[in-house]
Amino acid sequence: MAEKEGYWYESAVQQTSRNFFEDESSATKMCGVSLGGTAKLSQQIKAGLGGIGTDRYPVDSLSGSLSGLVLKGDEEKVDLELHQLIPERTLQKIMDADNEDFSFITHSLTTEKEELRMLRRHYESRWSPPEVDSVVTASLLGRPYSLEHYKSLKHKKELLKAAEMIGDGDLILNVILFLNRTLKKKLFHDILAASPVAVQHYTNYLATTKQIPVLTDTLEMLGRSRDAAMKLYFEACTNPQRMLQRLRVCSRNHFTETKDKTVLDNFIRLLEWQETYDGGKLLGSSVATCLSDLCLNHWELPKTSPHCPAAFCQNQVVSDRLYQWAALIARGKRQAWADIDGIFLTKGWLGGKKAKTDLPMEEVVSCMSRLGAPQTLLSSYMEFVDNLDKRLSLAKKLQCHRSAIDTYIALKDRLSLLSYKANLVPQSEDYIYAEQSLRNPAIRWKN
Amino acid sequence: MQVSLDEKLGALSQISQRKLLDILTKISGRKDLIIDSSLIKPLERIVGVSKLRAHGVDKIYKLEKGDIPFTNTQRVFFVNSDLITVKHVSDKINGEISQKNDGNSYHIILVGRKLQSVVNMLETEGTLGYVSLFVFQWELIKLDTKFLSMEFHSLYKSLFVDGDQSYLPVLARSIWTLCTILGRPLVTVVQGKHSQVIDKMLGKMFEELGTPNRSDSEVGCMFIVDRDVDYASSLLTGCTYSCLLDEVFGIKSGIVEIKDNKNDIPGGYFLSSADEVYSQIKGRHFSDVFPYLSTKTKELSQTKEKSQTMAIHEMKQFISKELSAVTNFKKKLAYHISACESIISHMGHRYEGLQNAEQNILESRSRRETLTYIEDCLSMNICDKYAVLRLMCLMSLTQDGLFPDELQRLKLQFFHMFGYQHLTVFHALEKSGLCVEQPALLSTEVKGVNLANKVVQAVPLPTRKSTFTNFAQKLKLFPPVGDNYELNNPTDLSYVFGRAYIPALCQIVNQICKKEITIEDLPKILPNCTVKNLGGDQQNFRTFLIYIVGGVTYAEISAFQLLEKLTGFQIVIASSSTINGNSIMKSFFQQ
Repeated sequence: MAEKEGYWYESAVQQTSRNFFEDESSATKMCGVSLGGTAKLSQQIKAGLGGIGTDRYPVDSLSGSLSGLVLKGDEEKVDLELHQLIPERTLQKIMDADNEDFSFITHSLTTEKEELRMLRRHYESRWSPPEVDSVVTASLLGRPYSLEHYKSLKHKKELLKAAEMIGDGDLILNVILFLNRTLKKKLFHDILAASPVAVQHYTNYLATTKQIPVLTDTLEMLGRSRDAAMKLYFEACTNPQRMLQRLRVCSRNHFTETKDKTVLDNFIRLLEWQETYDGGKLLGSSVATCLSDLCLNHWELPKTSPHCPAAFCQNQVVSDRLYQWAALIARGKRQAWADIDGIFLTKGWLGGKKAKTDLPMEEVVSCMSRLGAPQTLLSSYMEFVDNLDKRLSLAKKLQCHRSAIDTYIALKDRLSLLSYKANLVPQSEDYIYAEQSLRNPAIRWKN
Repeated sequence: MQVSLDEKLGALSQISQRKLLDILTKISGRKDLIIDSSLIKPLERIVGVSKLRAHGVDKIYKLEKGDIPFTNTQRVFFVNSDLITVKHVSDKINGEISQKNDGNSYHIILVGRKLQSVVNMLETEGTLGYVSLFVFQWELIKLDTKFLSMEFHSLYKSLFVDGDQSYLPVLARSIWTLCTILGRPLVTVVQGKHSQVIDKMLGKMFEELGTPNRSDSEVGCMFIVDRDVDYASSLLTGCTYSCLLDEVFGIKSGIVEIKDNKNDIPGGYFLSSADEVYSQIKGRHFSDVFPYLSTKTKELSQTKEKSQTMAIHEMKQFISKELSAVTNFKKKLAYHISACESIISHMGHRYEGLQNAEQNILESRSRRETLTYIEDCLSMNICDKYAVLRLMCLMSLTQDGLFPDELQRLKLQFFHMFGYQHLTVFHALEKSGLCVEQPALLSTEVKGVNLANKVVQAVPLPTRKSTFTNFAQKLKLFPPVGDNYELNNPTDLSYVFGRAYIPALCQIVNQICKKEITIEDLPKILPNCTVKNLGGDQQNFRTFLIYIVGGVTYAEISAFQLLEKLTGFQIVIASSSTINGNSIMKSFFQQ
């Protein structure tokens, strides 16, 4: 699926704009810094520097030894030895904390008699459940513990409660799996129903271990059918071969929420459509990718064909803006500029043409320019950029002189037009037009 | 000898190193080390290859799907302690054993903690008899001056998407160690569900593992807070150099890799304060980075000119003393210039629009314009799916949700562009509260509810303020509008977001420093917040420790570092990992 999406990305603003600004990189700016400026500086500094990082392999770096190159800055100043930083006693305490037999070290018993007494007590109580608190502590500190002796329901419940109280997820899960193993379903479910945190850990576990039927049954049992539906949907999407079939089951049996169902049914319609289209070559692609393909290859199909762009848009309830953008790029790539008016223009009141689009017109014009649209087309669309300042800067950026001159006239800005004219090729068509305009007495200049 | 606070924090990596080397010593003899690729960068911060070699590590391999060559009979797997990874390792070991059982011995070092589910799985798979298990719980990793991180990048997802609390004890332990070294803070502020749990565990650890030997403390006030206390700071696009490096390339364990069609620079680059260029520009607003780089470049070329007119003895001196330093500096300069170039070519085309949209969303104005911008992003594919979602979440956050029909419309356009399979992403976002429907003002049973909603949309109700707006105004997170503010000489913390917003935690600390609020006020200001006072003189402390559960952003780091400069207080930042809006959004895609 990912590879196919590349197809669409190819036409995206981001990618094309980069190519475009190759020549005009001064136009891409960020916080007042232009791409061209950095590129120039970069060249300047790299001159006489044999590339960055290719000649310097750090001696001690892991990634370096694994993947080849790592550029390491200067070593931070040599660290002080540990004992200079912290007292030995503190260090020992920290190292001991990792020790699984820690409790024996610290509570070292003074006399043999005491030790014997303790051991005897341990031996005598070996079949009774350990204190809940000791289990909690053991788990928290990463020491071994056993749950096997929690036999009575009361003890089991206490255990879970204690685990939840301390909030140790590993212990909570371990207890809940233990309860599942040692209690009948009804009792287990009652406990689950009363404990959302336990459910959370249990369902995560079921999802990770791919026990999907148990997972969805559990969620359904707890009245969380929407969560169950989403899980099934997610699972369906991970299996391209049986996706459609599984999604249909989802739609029939599990999706009750209308908004979700609308989306799912759209998805099913899309997959069904994709199966019929061009040997299934776009199976699994997004709506945008399909639409691009249609506009590129099946523009001429009659409205009645399910493979014509308009019918597809209807099928998938595609927004006008997405359709217009996809169509613009596709027709532009084909250099089919005659189709553009049909995408964007409608007839106005008095037979005049009006642009009808939610897209920002300056983006539309920029895009046309990138795709190599003729100047006349650009100029005519430039008119639809309502904001005069934007229109002016766009006209300048795209070297659309005619539009720039017209915009100066609309702004009644004689002085700026004068200086603009100075940069035009003398006696070119645009130059003459600017001159004529400057002499035109009908224009009331503001300066 | 006087040891500074920052130097002391350097002890943490050494402790981690010692713990790891202790484990390797227990596995005697020469061994292959097979590393989970996500652990390479954090490990890089803890130990170098030579130390590993000195402890018997012969060959180092990345853990990959395919076969891993045998060089030694001892194989040590160094992996994350999660079921899927360990299952993969277990399968590998079982496969190797069934192929040729010639006395290989296997060891698994689990990073973090020994999860019971992992041990049980190994038992079920029959692997447990063949392998010995070790746990390596590293301490906070120091990534920069007074900045520590556990580098658990999947922790946000575990906690805030899945609600999995298995790793909370590990975080509590990291705080325990820190307190053992620095002393117990006089005051502890705990905010948020997960932080409350951690605090409880921390108390238990003080009981069981002991309290610090020292009775004094180098930390006056410790904050343990959940990431979700201030989502805005992680959804907005930061404007400092380090923010943008992270935004565009993703900084992991303080290492960045520039990937760009044009300027691809192979390998990673260590970002540290020892790099004099980076330490100069990391916290600067992006508009102020280029002037610095350009000035330095000019200075260098002057040095070069000077060297051309040198006499022989001067030249000798220059070559032996300065040349390598100059070349070194030049390389760093070149790296950061390339990075800037790359950032601009990645973000330049949409940066202005994005800033504008973010600002509007924060201030809850020009709603229609913002929606149009998001729809433009979706139809013209201006940015990737994470960036679009961030804006939607930010909008939902600041306005208590999106209107139902708005959300449905945007969702549909999102699915058209990026695929219907992402329906579950929105479900997860909704459950986490990040992107929700605004509760309808009228009961949905009433007919014509759509019309009512449309009226609501058309007529904004000026009196009703969202939870976010109230919170932001209470803490003064929107800076006062001033005319003569210079981004290259910031005087308040909002510069990290282009003057739009001050990260909430930074502002709280700021207000405490300035005595505008007291620590005792915090439970009234922050949700689910408690303050614990160990006693002692509260007025005089000069050091804060801020521990953010779920991830800290580079914007917050930059703001805290400026705050240090402005107030003279010391601020130690610690977190489970660094995070940004993109990584948060990505967490909702992996289910």
